[in-house]
Amino acid sequence: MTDNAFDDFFKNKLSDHSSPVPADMWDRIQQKGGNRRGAFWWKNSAWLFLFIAAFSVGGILVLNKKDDSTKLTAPGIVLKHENNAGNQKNTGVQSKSVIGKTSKIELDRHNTPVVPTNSTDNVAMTNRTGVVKTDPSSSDEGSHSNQFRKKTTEKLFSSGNKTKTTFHSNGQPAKAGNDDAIETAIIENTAENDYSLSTFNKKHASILLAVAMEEKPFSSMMINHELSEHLKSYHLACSVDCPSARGPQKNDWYIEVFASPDYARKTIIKGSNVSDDFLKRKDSTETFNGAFTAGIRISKTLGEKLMIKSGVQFSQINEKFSYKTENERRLTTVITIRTIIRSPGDTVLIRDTSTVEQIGYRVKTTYNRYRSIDIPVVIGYEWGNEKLRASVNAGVILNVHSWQRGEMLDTSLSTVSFNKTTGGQVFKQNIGLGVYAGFSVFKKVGSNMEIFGEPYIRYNISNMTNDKNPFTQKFNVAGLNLGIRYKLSAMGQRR
Amino acid sequence: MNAMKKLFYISLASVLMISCAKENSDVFVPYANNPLNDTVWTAEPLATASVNQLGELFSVAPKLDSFEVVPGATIKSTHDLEVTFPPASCNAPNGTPVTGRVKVEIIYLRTKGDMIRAARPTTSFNRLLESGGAVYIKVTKDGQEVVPAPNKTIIIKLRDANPNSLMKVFYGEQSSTSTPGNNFGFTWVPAPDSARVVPFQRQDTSGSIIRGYDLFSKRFRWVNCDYFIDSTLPKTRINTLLPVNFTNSNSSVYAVFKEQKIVVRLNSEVSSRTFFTINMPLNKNITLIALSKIGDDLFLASKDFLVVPNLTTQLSPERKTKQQITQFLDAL
Repeated sequence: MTDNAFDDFFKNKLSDHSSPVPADMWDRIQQKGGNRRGAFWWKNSAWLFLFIAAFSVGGILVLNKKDDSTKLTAPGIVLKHENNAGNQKNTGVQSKSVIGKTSKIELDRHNTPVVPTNSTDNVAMTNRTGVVKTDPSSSDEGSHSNQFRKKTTEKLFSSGNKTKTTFHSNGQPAKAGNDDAIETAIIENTAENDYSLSTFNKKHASILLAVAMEEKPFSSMMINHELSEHLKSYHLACSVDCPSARGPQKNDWYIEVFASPDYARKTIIKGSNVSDDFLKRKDSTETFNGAFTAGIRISKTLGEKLMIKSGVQFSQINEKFSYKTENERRLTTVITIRTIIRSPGDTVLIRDTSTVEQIGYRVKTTYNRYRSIDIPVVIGYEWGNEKLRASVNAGVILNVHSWQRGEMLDTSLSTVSFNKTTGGQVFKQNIGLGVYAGFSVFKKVGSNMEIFGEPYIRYNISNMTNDKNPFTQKFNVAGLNLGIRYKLSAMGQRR
Repeated sequence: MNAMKKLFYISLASVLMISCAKENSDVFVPYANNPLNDTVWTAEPLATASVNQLGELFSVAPKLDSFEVVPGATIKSTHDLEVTFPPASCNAPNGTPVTGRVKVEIIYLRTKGDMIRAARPTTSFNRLLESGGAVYIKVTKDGQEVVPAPNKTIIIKLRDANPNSLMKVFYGEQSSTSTPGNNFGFTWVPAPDSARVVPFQRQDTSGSIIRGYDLFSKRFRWVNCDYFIDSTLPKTRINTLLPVNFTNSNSSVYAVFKEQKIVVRLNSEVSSRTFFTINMPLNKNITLIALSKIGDDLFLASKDFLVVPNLTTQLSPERKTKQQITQFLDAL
C-alpha cells in the first residue's frame, strides 16, 4: 500500500465521522482567552522591536515577490543556435532567471528555420547554479552558432563567472564528453562586470546559447515536448535562468539615522459649548516654541529606484504657555529680626516670623511638551549618480504612543495642568495615522556613507484631543530631516 | 560639501537646543503703587497716609446746632452732654465781638472706643491720663471759626456715674512740629488758665440722682477732663510687633486699660519697626488693639495682656468690615 492509498483508506472511512465536543472545551478556550495581552503589549521594547522588524522584513519580502513576478513577464527571448558563433564564445554563464510561459527560445541548428515555441510549453527549470555547456566536439551540430535574434541588446545581463554544468538527458548532471549529455552553451558576457546597456552594445557583447539535446525527452518534469534527433529545431520552453528583464537588481540595505528641527502648526476647532473668547484667550496663551524629530530607519531597495523605509522615530513639539493674571495676591513667610533698645545698654533682638502679603500680576510660563513615538513606513523613488542622489518619499506614520505634559486654560479661564498621568483626560495617548511626504538629497561622503537632507511634511489625520474635550486640536508638522545613511555592505548583494 | 556639513551641524545643534528642557516659571510682579506692597516705615507718616484716614473713617458723628451769641444758649448733645455758652461769649480771632447766630459743632468722646475712633488717646506727653470724657467744640460764624471771648467761661456738663475729684481740664494740643492733620502730634496738656472741673451730683426732673462733671473751659476745640494716674507705680516699656505689611503709615496700635478709662496710643519706632510705649504700669490688664487701613481694606487685631516688664507682643490683624470694627470699638 502506497502512502496515498493508506491516506485514502482513512479518508474514505473517517470522512463522515463526527466526534462529540468535550464538555470543558469552551472553558479551555476561555482560559486561553484570559491570557490575551493588553492593548499596549507593544510597550515592551522587545515586542516593539520584533514588531518593527517583522513589519519591515515582511513588507520587503512581499514587495520583492512582486518584483519577481515582473521578471516572469519579461519579453520572450528568441535564440538561434549556430555553430559558427562568430564573435561569440561558447562559454558558461551563471543564470538565475526563469522564463515562464511567455518566454520563447528558438534554437536553430544546422541552419534550419526557427520554429516558434509552443506557447503552452511551461518549463520550470531552476538552474541556478548550473551552467550549460556547449561542446561542439561531441556534436556534429557544433558548427551551429547561437545568436540572440530579438532585442537581446535590451537586456541587461551579467556574467563574470564561467562555470559549466553538463546534464544527462534525464536531467541528471553528466560527465563531460558523455554522448547523452545535453550540451548547452550559454553566454559569455565579454563585458565583464559592466551592466549598462550602452556599454554592452559598444563592446559587442553577445549572449550565446547552444543547446544540444538528444531526441529523447530531456525530462518529463522539465520539458514536455521532443526535440529532433539532429537538433534541426528545438522547441524549448525556456527553463534557462535568464537575467531579469531590467537587469541585475539592487539589493541594498541602508540604515538611516536622522534628526530634524520641525515647525508645528496647531489647528484648534471649537466645539458647540465653547465661546470664541475662550479660544482667543487660549490661542493667545500658547505659542510654538520649537519641535524636533529624531529617529532611525532601515531602508531597502526595491528594484533600481524604489526604496522602502521603516523604523522608529521620536517627535517632540514644544509649546510655551504663558498666562498673565491680574490682582494676584502672594503670601510670603518672612523672618524679621528686630533690634529693640529698651534702655541704654538693654538691647534685645527679636525674631519675628510672619507673612507678607503682596498684590500684583502673575505671569505663569510653562513649556508644554507633546511627545510621540511613531513608526514611519515610507516608499521612496530615488535617482541620481554616485555622488549625488535624490528621492521623493511618501508614506504613512503610525503613532505608537503619545504623551503630553504642560498646562493650558480651561473654559473657566483657569490654568489646568496635564501630564503623563492625567493627560489622557485631555489628549489621546495614540493620535493615530499621519501622512508623510518628503524630498531627499543624498551626498556621498564615504564608500558606504552618505549624508542627506530631507524636507518633509507630516499631516496628522485625526485629532489629538479626546472626545470629551470642548475643542479639538492637532498638529501638522514640517521639518528638515538631516542625517546619515550608511550602506550595509554585508547585506547588500546584487542578485 | 562644506555647506552640507555646516547645515548638518547647525541643524544638529538646533535639535539639541530645542530638545533641552526649559524651566517653567511662575513670576509674580508686585504692583508698584499698591499700598499693600508698601512696607516702608517713615519717621512721620504723611497727612494723606492711611493711618490718618482712620480717624475720619471711624469718627464720632458731631452734634450740629446753632445759637444766638448775644443771649447765649445751652446746647444739648448726645448722652446728656450739655454745653452752655454765656451771653456774648464769642469773638472773632481778631478779638472783635461776634453777634448774631453762630454754628456750633460738638463731638463727645465718652468711651474708650470713642477715643480710639477719634484718635485721641488719654496721654499727655507719654504720661497716662485717666479721662472722664472729652469734648470737641467748634463755633463758626459765616464759615469762620470764632474763639471764646475773654473772661467768658464755657460750661460743659458731662455725666459720669463715678466722678473723680482729681479731674482737671486739659486742652488738646497739636505739636507745632508735626504735620497738620497728623494725629501723631496730638497730645493733652493741662489747662494753664483758671479752667476747672467740678464734680456734681443732683436730682433731675424725674427725681433720679445724676452725677458728673462741670467743666469750666476758657477755650473751644478739644477739652478734656483728666487726671494723671499714680506716677509712683512701677512702669515698663511694651513693644508690639505687626506683620511686615503693617507699618506706621497704615496702622495704629492702642493699649486700652480694662479697669480704667485710659487709652494709650503706641508710638512707632522706625529703627525696630515696632510700636511701643513707655510708662506702662505693671500688673495692669490691657487690651492691645491694632487698626489698619491698607488700600480699601480695613484690618483689626486685638489681644489681652497683663503688663509685665518689657512686654513684647505680636498682633496679627485680620480683614474686617467697617461695621465690625465699629461694633468692636463701641463695646470697649
